[in-house]
Amino acid sequence: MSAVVEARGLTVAFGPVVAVDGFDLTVPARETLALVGRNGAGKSTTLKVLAGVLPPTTGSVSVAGIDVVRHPDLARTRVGYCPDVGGLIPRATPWEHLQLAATMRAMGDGWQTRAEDLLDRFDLLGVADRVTAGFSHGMGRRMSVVLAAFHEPEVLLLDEPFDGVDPLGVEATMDVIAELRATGSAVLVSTHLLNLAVQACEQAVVLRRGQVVAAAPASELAGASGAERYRSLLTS
Amino acid sequence: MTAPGDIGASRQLVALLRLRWQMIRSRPLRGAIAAITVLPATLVIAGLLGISTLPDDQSFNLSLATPTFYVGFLVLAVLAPLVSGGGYELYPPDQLVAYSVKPATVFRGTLVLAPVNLAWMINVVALLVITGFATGELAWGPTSRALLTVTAFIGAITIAGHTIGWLVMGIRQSRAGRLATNAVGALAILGGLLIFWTDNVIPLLDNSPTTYVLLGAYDGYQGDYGPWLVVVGSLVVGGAVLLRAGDAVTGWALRRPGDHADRTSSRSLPRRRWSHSVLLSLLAMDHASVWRSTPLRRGVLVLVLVPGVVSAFAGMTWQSLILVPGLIAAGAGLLFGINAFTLDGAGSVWLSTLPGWASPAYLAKSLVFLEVALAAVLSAFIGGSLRAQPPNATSEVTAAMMSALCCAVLVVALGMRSSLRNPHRADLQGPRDTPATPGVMAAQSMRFALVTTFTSLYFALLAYSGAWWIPLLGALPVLLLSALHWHRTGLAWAHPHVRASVVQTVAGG
Repeated sequence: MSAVVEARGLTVAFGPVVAVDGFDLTVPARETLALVGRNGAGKSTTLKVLAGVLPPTTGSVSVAGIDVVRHPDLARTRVGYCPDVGGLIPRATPWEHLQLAATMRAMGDGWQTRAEDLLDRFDLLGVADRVTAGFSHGMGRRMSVVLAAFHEPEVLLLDEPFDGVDPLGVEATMDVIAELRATGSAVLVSTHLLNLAVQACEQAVVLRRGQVVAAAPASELAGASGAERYRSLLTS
Repeated sequence: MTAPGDIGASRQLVALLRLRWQMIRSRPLRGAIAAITVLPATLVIAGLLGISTLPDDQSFNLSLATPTFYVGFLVLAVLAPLVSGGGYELYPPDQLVAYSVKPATVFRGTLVLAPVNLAWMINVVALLVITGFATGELAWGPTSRALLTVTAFIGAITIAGHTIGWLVMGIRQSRAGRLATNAVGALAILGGLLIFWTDNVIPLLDNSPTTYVLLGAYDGYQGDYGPWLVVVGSLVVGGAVLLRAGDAVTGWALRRPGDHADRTSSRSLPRRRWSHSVLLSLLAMDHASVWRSTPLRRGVLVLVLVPGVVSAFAGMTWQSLILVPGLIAAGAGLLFGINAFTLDGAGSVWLSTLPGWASPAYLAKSLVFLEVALAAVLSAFIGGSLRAQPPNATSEVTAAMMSALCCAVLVVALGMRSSLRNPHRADLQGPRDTPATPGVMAAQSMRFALVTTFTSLYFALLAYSGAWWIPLLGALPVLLLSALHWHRTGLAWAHPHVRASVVQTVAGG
């Protein structure tokens, strides 16, 4: 199966600090991949590079066959990204976020139905016209997932989508991941919550100090034995 | 009462100031801030030396108007903290929640930061120079005593202004309080208009209590120590009492449960019509970010209304109208323009993942910034021109117009460059939120003031030509240089590394 996400020798350095240290990553269509690891392992930085927020220091990155560095705007049309922190314009409403996304992604008339459906599923329809500055952390996370999935991207990048989210919100996120996977999208989920990562994804990559230390089916990290293995990967 | 392990407000303030200084990592910025602290004293000395060359009869004429200048300062010292909900803060409140910072520390911090307000600083320098000249020939001892008098006045009035600012901020935490303060504000405006239309402005100013401050300065200059000490002592004691009152009022205001922010964020807003245009959509988003922000909304209204009204009432000359827009444009730049991308806040990361966002976003931010700057300078220009004395030449009119336009454009070009070089996370939600740290605000205000003052002086010189087209021609290089500066900043913004750095910083770094 052809790779929808492909990174080769990906390195991101902030001065002397190397956040991502030359690793390779391949995610085919219809695959859900969990990026797990400790704080500072390079998970969020990797997703930022794939989303076109942060240019890599060295290495090549492509999404849906498009070079993210050379054609960032084209690549952005294929990607939906939920950032790890915030992600919302404080004095704009959810509906205004969706309006802007529809304009910038040239979605054409009819986007409103999809927008209302997503807001409803994430229990945000009632607050669709309130500014996001008043949102709780969990509401903000749910809205960020809505924005990432809104245009049914070929690559869905979710950074800590379950952080502070209630069980119904987690369920809605799981549904969206499953739906997009079923339509052929590749989904990458970065999270500290191992159980949810295992539940959401088929494959898992364990990062440590900017390097891949293990890549395996997510089921191998399930249960007590999986957790023990994960712990040993983080500390060995 | 101080508990064991607790330190007083003054020591807390020193610790917070020291930390703020340590947080300035840029050496040039540290240098600029250090220079700014000595600049006012330098300007006062230079001003005194310069003004002392004027004939003695000018000194007498100026002394007649000096109490009016004091009244002007009084109005400013009350209005500025009122608009900013008590004054500038050393740190955003959310950064200090883990520490037991006393309300008195917060209040005194706002006093320490009063000089960050460009208008306050310019007025202080002007008052000292005017008083020094008005009291008599320059002499070390006598002039120092006169200046000490006006310094005590400036201190007491600044403390009073900030105390009133915090008091009103506390009162406005409830709906009834907001209604009451709005009513008082409306009555004050009506009273002002009534005084103006009944030709009572001059008699009122002639009987202003600020005359006693000038008389105290005279006593100090002439060595009449008894009356001088009464005036200075009254101002110092009054200032000390107000300081204690300010400590208490700030504590009360901060303890009040506020409903204003909750009201704003829990209200459903009407939906805008959807636009296919990327630029129009981004402009609508940026307009909303300005108008839905308490400090920005107040700042824009004050910048647009106050200079216009004051210029209209003042009956200025066209030469003065050439000089006024510069400082107003500088004020507009400090509203949000020095850190324009902070309008998007945490949403900037998501925005940067939208295809084709970068260039229109830069243009939209610049246009919204330009709108505010132009609205402020044009308001002053139009207000001033309504009652201005007839111009000596048409070149004065075109020079005033070009000065307003060029200062606004220059400030936008400089502000957008600063937005890229010194991005900063700022919520701009609370009434005291500022777009940058106090140090950066001070450095930028001085930078804007210098550039716009020189630009205004340039047009004042061109106005002497007498030919209406000379200022128009003179505006071309200023506008072209500004456009070039803005374009080069846009090219830098197009660079992914620069953009990533700005986006990450304003989003939360």
